[in-house]
Amino acid sequence: MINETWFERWRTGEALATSLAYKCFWQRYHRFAFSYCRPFLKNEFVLNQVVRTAMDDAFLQLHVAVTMGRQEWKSEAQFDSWCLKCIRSRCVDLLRQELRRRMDILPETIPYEDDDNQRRENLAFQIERLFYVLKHTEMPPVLVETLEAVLEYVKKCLIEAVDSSLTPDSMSIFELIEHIEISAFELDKDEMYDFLMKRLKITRKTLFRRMNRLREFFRQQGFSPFNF
Amino acid sequence: MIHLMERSLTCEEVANVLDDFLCDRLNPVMPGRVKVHILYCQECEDAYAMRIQSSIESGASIANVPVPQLPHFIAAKLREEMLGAIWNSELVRSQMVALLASLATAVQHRQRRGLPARGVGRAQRVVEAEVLDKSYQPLQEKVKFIIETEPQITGQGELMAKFSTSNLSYEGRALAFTLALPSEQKLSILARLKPASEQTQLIAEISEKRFEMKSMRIPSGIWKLYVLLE
Repeated sequence: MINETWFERWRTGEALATSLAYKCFWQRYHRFAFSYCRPFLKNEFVLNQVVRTAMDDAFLQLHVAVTMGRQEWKSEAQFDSWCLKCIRSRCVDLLRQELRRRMDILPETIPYEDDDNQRRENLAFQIERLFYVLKHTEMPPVLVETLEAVLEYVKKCLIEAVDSSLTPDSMSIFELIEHIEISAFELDKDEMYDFLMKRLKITRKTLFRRMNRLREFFRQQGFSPFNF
Repeated sequence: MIHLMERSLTCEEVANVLDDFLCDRLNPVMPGRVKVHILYCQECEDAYAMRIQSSIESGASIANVPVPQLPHFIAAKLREEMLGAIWNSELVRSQMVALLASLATAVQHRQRRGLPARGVGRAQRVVEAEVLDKSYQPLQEKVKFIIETEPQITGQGELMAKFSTSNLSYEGRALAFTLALPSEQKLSILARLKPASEQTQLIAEISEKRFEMKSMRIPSGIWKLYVLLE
């Protein structure tokens, strides 16, 4: 499909060659981006928007790479994998942004969704994300302790919402989420602060300082700040 | 204290449920967890992308979506390649006038020595115009235009040219009169294609008043016509 002449024309920055590339490859890459994002986003409008943005950004990147002479592709396969990588990384960024935007707040409120299952999924997403940070990033021990206490409080609330006779070890957080009726689940910020102060044996002032550090840490890790 | 580390998904667990995740067969809690893992774990993201790619190669995918218009950054560059600057801003004007002035001196110099200006006198009476689509890509079509008035700059500093065509299908479209200036720059002046009084041909009158040099014919080699569908 493409040969050295084409590469040469792109390298010289000929806009017509870039537009030909656009016409030739757009559908293939769009199909990839669409299938890539579809399992992540149920809302069709958001899905199409994310895919379209990813496509535009990837082609802009291609355009810049070609006109600035930053990339030298030796073969079609090389070129193809470069483009797919571009699209993939852009899709991941956009999906992270999109999912973060939808589920920013923990544990003050559960973001409003019509569908109870969707709300369960969101809650699971948030908690898995906290676990992921705990497992894969090096956090100062004080913050680990605080975050674990927060999760413990979430679990306590979940147990109350599901069945108060359960013991904390009998079910995992995710099993609890599977069973809760979302409307029965409530998190109270003040109550949580009281719980954390007792659990960590610290004053309110120290707790607030730690919470700020925790928010700052998450921000640095590329997560959006927590609203607690 | 709850045992947090044990409850986070592992890569193997994700790999096991990937098929179900793609087909939306998981319970409501699991997709949320798998999503986090794929988005933040490089290895699993690679595996997921490979899966998607192979499903596309095998053709088990969605239908083709029509290719949308060129993104603005490519279209803008194409327009610049084809037409150069469109004569409408002060900035362009100040730059282009200087270039045109140098061209004019060269032509006038030849005229003073009694030689005809380059291109003048053997200009074609009929010229072909390329048709550009909405994103400034040349289509295969060409339109023939008859030169009614030779392109020239009059004594009052007005650039004038008049073209007509018997092809009525381009009524209302813009005709770009593109000058190729020295130093590989281009400058376009646009005119609308309007039906003439007898309704058998379209006429475009190029007219631009702000040129600051006088009495000069524009040699035929340096201008070109484009019909724009935008």
